Amino acid sequence: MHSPVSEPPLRPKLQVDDLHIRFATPDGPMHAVRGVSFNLSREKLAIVGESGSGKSTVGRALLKLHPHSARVEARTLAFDGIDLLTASPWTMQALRGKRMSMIMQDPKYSLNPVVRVGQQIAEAYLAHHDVPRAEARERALAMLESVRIRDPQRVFDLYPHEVSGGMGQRIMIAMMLITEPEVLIADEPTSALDVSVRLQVLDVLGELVRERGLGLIFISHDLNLVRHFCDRALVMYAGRVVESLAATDLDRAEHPYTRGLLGAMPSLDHRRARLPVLRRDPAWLAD
Amino acid sequence: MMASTTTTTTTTSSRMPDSAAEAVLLNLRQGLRRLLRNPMTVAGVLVIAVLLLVALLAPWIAAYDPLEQNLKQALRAPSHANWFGTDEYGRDIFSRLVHGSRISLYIIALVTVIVGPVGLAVGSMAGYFGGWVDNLFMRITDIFISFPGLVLALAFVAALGPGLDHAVIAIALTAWPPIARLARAEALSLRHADYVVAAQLQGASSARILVRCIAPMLMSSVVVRLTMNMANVLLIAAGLGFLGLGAQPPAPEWGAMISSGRRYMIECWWLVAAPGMAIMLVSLAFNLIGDGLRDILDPRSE
Amino acid sequence: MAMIQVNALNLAFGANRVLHDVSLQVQPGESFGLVGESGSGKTTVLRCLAGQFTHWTGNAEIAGHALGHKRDRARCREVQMVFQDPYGSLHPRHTIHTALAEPLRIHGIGDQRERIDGILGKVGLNSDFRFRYPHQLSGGQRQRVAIARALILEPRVLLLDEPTSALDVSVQAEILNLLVDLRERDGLTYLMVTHDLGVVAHLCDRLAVMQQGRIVETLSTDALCRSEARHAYTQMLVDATRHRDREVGEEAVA
Repeated sequence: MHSPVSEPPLRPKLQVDDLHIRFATPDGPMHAVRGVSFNLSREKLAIVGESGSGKSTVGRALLKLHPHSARVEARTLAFDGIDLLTASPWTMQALRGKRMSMIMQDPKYSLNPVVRVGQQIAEAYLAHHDVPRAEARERALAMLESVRIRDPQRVFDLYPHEVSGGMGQRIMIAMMLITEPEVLIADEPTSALDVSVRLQVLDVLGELVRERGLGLIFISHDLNLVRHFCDRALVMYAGRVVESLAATDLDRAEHPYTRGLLGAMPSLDHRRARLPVLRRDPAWLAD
Repeated sequence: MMASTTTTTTTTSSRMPDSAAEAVLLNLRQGLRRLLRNPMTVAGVLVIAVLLLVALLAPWIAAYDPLEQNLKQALRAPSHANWFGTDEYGRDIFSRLVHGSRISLYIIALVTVIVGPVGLAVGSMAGYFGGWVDNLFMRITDIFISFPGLVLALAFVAALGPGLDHAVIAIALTAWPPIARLARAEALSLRHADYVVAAQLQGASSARILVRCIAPMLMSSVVVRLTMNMANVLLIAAGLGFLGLGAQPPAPEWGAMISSGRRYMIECWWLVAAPGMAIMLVSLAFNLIGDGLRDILDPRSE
Repeated sequence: MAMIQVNALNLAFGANRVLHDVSLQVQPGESFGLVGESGSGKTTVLRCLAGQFTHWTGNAEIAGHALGHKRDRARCREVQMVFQDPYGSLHPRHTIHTALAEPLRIHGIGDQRERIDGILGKVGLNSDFRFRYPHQLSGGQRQRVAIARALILEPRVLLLDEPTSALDVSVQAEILNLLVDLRERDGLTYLMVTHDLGVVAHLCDRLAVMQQGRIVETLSTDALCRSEARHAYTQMLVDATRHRDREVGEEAVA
């Protein structure tokens, strides 16, 4: 069905240049994202940062999930050449879920609790393809197998509260990949999972991304996770990208914020009497 | 974005409160500002403020004695001398309306003062303790709630005899169960909160936890509910008055005024329209204030 | 004499057995970690010791006093707890001052102003914070207040329920350093529940690994870091933390 991509890379799937996002709050406009730029091809790009850094905001802006009161401005914000800034709601509807998908953090909250999981996956397919229900069901079962769920027939009929966290997240992945999107945005997909399950879910995700030649944006606060899983990383602080580097180069990061974050993490292998505390330099906030 | 000692995103004032009183005041001011942002709420607040003023200054606002009869002036249409006309005994309706506001406020205030604490206490105890306490209190509440409000009020007044104070008791007896139910529902989820567990760990007695931890969290919903209840109380009181079971004649209670004005309603619309409008406006105002309060007191918006 | 002694702790919710014969010992001044994944029962053990669950069987002793099934006021001066969620552990309508003064009032302790200022200084907050409400503080500041609240009654044992898992990495480092300092300064005994082995490596001397309500292994942190764990589950957790072995995840889920 899908062969690994061998054609030469054309223009990047996603182009973001100088993205600014401002929210209207009762206390005045809040400048949540300041001048973020990146391109995404068929790779795993991580956007890393702490809470309030704006990483999730960027992810949601790509799918235009922000309320109308939010001001999203950029020199370029394009998916496969389509300008997302001026895209109409119909264009976005055709894009969302079909060509660009999103996985969120906690399957407890992102799956509909009153609909069986298999049904939800099938409906995700039916939303964008006009096929008989039986075919959608077959495709849903095939997706469940591809996310390594051992008993797809049984799991198809379960409700979200009957599945564990790791399985729920794999179901989410199945649901978001069944329409064969080209770009997948994963917003902290493993943060709510136990450490052993986390690896399994990442494995599944990595395999699917590789097989189908997807572009993946992986939003996370966990630098260590990103180092092992992704190809490139963007480090965000206070709405800005402070560093952009290959994931394997993270331990050789240069920006003091990234170094500070790496140093502040307690580690099994690198035990210290005191954890170095990150000193926030106001100079990092300079535009 | 976050320096080590300053606050996070939402505080507006950079002033740090120096005392407990100042902290509370700052909070109140912020709440008031948010309340007054909604034009509908402001309208409600204005109407009630006018009501309070009118009730307070009744003897000076009313041009005539509300009880003074003048049969030669009976059933006059609204005019320059009588703004809302006169009733069948020649009494100035405007003056009666103004004095009637005192009765209405009396009923509303008294009922609220009884119903609020009782409902809060019963509900919070039932929710917090659970078990047999919950069962006992809720079955009592169920008994009261299963009767329609007006019917139960009627029954009580019939048993106790007509009169303003008896009407107040009757209405209070029917108005507390919903408050208790509301308080219980919230207390049920609050009792597992970490700060309650922390208080228990510190050795706080159940009474202390109920009063200091649980009750303040219930206040928002209870206050909103009480405010919206006020409209209902007014309507039930008017209903009782209409049936002759509330304030007795010649007291200028609004419901009683509508009742006695019924007979002349077709030709003399002002007899019924004036008190009717008053009841409607005040009920609406309470509802609007309740809505506004709910918007600002909703814990999710904090 | 052990500061915390738990023997054969069993707990069931209806037909569901949550704790199976849990036994552990914590020496005075020691920092002991209780590690496991979700559903392992580690938080339940803590809550039993805190007195939140009372229908457990077995026996438990803190500072030599046997733990009864009823809430005991004397215990408050011995044992206190720091909770996981800094956003939920402080009463939203109480100022910091009230939150810290309550325990003093309950036990009739005077000098409130001095004690509150003292404890705030100890956790690294200045007294400007006294009349703020929790929603005006950051996550790290709230957790400091929660620690201050736990320490104001001068307990000897601190139960910590994932105290930093809801915090950002940089804030977590500050709080972990604070906990280390406090323990050294006041000779406290910690029993800490966490799922993060890095935190255990930093803060704990020994740890017990729990799986499905049972303790599968008790070992020292040094042994853990040298990969000398004897039980396969423990080693799996270590490897998963180090992101070394991907297939490890599949075995564990079986």
